[in-house]
Amino acid sequence: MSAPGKAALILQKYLGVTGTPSAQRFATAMRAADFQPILDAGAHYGLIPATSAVTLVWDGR
Amino acid sequence: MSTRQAWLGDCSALAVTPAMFVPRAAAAQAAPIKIAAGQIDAQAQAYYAQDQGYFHDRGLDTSITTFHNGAAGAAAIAGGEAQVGVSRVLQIAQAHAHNLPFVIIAPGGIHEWPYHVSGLMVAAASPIVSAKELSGKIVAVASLNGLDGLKVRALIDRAGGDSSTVKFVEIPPSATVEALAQGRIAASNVEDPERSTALRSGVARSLGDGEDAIGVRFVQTGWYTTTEWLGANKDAAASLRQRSTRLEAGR
Repeated sequence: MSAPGKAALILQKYLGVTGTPSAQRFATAMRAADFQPILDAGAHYGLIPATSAVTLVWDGR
Repeated sequence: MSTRQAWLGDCSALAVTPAMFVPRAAAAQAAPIKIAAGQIDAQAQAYYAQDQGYFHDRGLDTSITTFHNGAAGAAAIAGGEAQVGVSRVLQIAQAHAHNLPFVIIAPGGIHEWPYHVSGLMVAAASPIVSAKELSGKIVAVASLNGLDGLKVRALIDRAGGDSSTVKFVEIPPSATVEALAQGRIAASNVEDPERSTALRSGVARSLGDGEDAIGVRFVQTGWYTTTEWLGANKDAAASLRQRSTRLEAGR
């Protein structure tokens, strides 16, 4: 988050957790390709069948 | 892969029955949107957006229900107790593979090298200097079949080790640093805030971030719903997508 102090107050309010949030980043656009690496890795290690992100992600239509 | 009922049966104490999967078109038209979110940083987007009025600004009547694990949230969405959830992409894909009619409507947390929020950690005094040395060793993860286990395997293999020989154990995140210090495990995947705390205190060091072994950039969590709810609420879904992806830039 770009405003960790503000984020910390929100998490304390909703989850009751204290401390500074991590440097977690959030996507700023929907790109199916951004989902593919985790799907490929999951399939490689047998956690899911081979999956194309386009079958899992809404195309907006 | 087994059936969706069997998958959900493993998930939580929630009573999920086939009757919960009957069409709910009428209910899906109702304005309130209950969002099922977890407690990890990559799902915190929901709380930030809700608190800042990002959804209410678009006329969406959203509320958040916190679940202690993604599977319980998935059961709530499948059962109609919640309409939209935020969960790990891998977990959504696992549910999808078990014939749950889930679809991702927006991205959530994203891994982008060189920003790290997790690490494969060893005790500061450990002789291990590379993930490849973990072949045959005991390594802790929070969830063997989740993202934790996946990224540890990927990192060990990419480093030249053999993850198939690793003895994985599941340990709650809050207990991993102590287990490292006591020598009960050789390494553990540790997430923030525990990772940052351990690094600052000098009790552990990182062999690398397994997420880098998966990709330099990939979405970790996603906003999802059922195909049925989406079909009846495309405008609301589009607004959720538009507002959630504005969150990072809007601060």
